[in-house]
Amino acid sequence: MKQFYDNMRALRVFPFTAVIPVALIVILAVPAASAAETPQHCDIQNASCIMRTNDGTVIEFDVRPKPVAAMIESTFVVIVIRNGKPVTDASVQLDLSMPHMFMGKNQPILHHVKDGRYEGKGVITRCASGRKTWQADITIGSDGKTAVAAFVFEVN
Amino acid sequence: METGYILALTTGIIGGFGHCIGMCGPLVASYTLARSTRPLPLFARAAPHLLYNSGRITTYALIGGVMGLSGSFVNVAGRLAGIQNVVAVIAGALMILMGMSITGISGNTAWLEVHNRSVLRLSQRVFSSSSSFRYYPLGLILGLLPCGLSYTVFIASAGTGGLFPGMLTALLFGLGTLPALVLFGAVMSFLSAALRSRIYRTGGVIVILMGIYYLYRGISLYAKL
Repeated sequence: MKQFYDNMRALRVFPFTAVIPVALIVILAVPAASAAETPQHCDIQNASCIMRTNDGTVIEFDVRPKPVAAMIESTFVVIVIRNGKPVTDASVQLDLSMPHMFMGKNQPILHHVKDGRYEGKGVITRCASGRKTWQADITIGSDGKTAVAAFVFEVN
Repeated sequence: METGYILALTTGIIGGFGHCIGMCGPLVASYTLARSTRPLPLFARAAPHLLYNSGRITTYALIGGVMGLSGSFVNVAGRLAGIQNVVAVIAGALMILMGMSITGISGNTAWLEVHNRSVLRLSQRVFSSSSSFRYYPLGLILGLLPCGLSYTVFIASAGTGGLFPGMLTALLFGLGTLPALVLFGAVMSFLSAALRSRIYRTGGVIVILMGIYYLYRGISLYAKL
């Protein structure tokens, strides 16, 4: 009987350890609620993608080198301008995903380079299904405000 | 447990249901359909799926370890790409051969046997043996199939900067995919019994069609190299 109670006591730990993966499942499976912007289609192969948010923040997104291709190291660039001035102290989060196909969490880390320009390196992976459409969700946090932009683009 | 490991495990769990069933489901269905018609106890039915997935996860862990050791996803992935694309083509060819065997038309393929002796010998070893252990090497080989979701995890493995952390990241991801694929395999086992008893040859035709699709995918990937 004592053994039984010991086992039950040990099992009490389970709910707490299970909470972390379950919470992560919810976070990963449900797209970020803040990313409410309708994704804007853009021709990333020939130009950068630009979106003006409701609070007047201009978010420019680009991928180098061109042509933008899967399975090579790429440099992701985000330029943030608010009220005509570069935002230099923002936290910039880039989330790469494929619409309609779960590809795991792919979030290159971006750092401020200069004049509101944030850069980071990463890899756009190749899907064996042959799909080439990717989405970049960008979240800018600065001065207690959050601005989001979403771009849909094609890779080679 | 570190967040990176939990994330890898969670990616496997979500990806197993949301990605792997769609991309690897046909393969699981193929080897399930190609199995013996004899009624088997539950463990004997589950063993091929567990062994196949163990092989697949072993390969993931090894690749993850190499990624972690090298610290570079692009370099290792670049070297692996050629092998992976060949494996994709082989998977398609094997599925077609399995389908031909199920439908009973493989007896008329002397021309195929003349030109593809080594592939046929390999497939015969894997699929004609009565032992369930043949599914482990199959999983080892087919674990090399190109897969976008596993690439994302290998990027994380490369980021760990070490052999064991990289290996553990990929291992946890693989374990995460296990429930979905084993469950799918179990469902297919029941379905295949019904298929076999009623429309036996239709199952073979389905496997051939899935093999053609895999072959097309493999050749497409090879062309992009």
